[in-house]
Amino acid sequence: MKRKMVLLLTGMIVMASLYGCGGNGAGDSGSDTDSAEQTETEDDSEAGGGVTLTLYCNADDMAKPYMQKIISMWEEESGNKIDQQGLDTDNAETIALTKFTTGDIPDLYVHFGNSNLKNFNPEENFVDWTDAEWVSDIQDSVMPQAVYNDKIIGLPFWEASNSGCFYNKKIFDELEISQPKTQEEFDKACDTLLENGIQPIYLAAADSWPILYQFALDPVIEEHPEYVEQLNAGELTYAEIPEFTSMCEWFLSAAEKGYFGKNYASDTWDYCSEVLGTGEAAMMFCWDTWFDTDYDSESYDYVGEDFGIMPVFMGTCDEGTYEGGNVNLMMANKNGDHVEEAKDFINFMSEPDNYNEAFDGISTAAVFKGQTTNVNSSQYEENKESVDKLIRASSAQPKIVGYNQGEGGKALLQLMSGDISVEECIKLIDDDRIATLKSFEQE
Amino acid sequence: MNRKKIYPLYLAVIPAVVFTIFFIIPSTIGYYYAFTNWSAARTTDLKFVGLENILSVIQSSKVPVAFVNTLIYAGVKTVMVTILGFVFAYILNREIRSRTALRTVYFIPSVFSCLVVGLIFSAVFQTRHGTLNNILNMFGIANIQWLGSRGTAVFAICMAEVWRNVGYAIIITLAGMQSVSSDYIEAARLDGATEWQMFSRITLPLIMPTVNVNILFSLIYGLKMFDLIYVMTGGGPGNATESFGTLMMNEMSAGRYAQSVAVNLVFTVLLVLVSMLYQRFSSRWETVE
Repeated sequence: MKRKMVLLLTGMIVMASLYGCGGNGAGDSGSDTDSAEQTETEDDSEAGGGVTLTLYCNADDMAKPYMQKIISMWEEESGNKIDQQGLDTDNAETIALTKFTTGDIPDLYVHFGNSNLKNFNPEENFVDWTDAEWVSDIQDSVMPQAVYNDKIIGLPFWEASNSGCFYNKKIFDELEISQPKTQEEFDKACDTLLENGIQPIYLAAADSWPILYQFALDPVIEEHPEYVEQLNAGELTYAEIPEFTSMCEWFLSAAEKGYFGKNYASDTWDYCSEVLGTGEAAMMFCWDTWFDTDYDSESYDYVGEDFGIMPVFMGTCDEGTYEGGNVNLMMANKNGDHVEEAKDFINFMSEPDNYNEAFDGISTAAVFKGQTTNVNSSQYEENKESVDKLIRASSAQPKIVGYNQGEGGKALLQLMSGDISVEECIKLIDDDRIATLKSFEQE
Repeated sequence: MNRKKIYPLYLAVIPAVVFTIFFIIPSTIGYYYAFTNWSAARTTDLKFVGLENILSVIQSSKVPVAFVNTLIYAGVKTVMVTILGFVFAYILNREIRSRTALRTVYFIPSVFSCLVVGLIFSAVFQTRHGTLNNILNMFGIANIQWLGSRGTAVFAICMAEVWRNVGYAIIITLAGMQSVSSDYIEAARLDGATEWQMFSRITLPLIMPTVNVNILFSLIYGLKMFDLIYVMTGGGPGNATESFGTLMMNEMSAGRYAQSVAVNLVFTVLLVLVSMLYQRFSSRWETVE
């Protein structure tokens, strides 16, 4: 009797375990019709008749007010729900890629439309919007970022920020430093700040991506558009681009002079507000909308309006440069269980009334031609002439196959720390790019 | 033990089949990808590319750094965890009032996930507002970039790993010590043996098999270290604290799947070699009468 009872209980545990292990993800849909139906029923009951779409997005990006606004507007109107799965900001792309590779593809996915998008097989996974009505409403300056292999693969729905070097106007005024117009003037301004005990630039190099070395490459690519084609064809290396060496040399020299302070190797993005707000550092490479959406104006001495924008000087362009907006794309899984609902959401986002409501009062340049409720940043309004004159489209990151902001930043940090030479640094960045390029081309 | 009882050979077939199905075949299939052109952009119609990926891994300038770091992590962890585990187990094996409570306290870090331990130690070793630097500041010592240079960052990671694992070592060593019959100790004491003689001639030789298990586990898990490094430094600053684990992750996140498997393959060969070498030498240390 006791033995039978043990066997019965063991059998029940095994059954329960096997049932619990049963998948019901999109990748299993073919064989798991029952469980898929059950999931849908559960979704329906939760949503009060609608369905629940899954959305993967960088957690920080997901939290943006206009994203939350448009999602809640659609949920209210359609009766459907969006299960927002925020991915760890520092590893969002890696996590998403792992999920995609294992067949865990959400109904909606948000990604910066750069060259890394290739990893996500856009043609196989995402809805083609080339013939959508809203395509004609996208600003011309933004449109290239929505295109993959001549097809529109997502809706640009993001802040079109202006990136540059942000400086503390009050500190500059107190020290009688005028806004630099050349690389030499910029370096002199840094020297003056240093002489007065102020760290010139806050560089969150420990996170590697905030080194943002693509800013230095945009003017180079604008002047030599053939470089992109040659790099992507394996006919050119970074070592053969003189400006790339100049950039590395400038980073090394700036670190040696103390422009980035003493702790740049362990400085992280989390402390930007604190360091700028207390006046510990006077400048930072960033984008203007950050001061409206992320900068903590309430906790420190200096508020967002105390900062102005000026060109970035990184040793490659004497007059400096600004970078135009990098926009996120909202893409729909064309093989998912809820394709129509996902498409409906994106079409909803593209309606002028809806995006104007979502972006009402948001500091950004217009992404849509019909966008009227956004406001330009105070930094842009104050220095409009310089920005409009020197702004360049983001080109290094979206166009160079294998461009890796993180790995490149790591190599530059090693260079600045004195662990490797300029030549070794260039080789390290290039080896990583070439490895990716080769992995795409291997036959 | 009945030495005459010899089982028929065919009984080994079942475990061999199970081992083949659940280990040999999946591993072989997995490692096959190291010799293909598998990438994020190419997941179907894979082609054989020979040793190309293995050679690119071996030639990569990041591999020597990762190789040395991996050995440092494994070496420091093994030595520290074994010694500390032994010392604490020896103390906790004596008649102390709070013995049971102390055993629990020392074991608690082993229960925490790597992520939690990584976050705790990141907070401790942070340059700005880090616990350690706050304490140093109280004595007038300026901030140290614990995670900002290779030496200190490797040290911080090792400390976190040792802290997390010493509890296991204590429990395993303690179990070994408690299995030593008190008759031996009493007999030695009657013969006038000193504490050191009893420890070095009786306790230590008898628990060597247990210590060896500790060393082997620490070595293997030390070589496989990934999560703590990923949470605390992400392999940085630069590539200074990379291990084979983080290298694999980097390759995978860049969409270079075949290269990631190739790194794994090279690493597995290293792991097997180290384990075999250790097993060979450790068998000489064990004294089982």
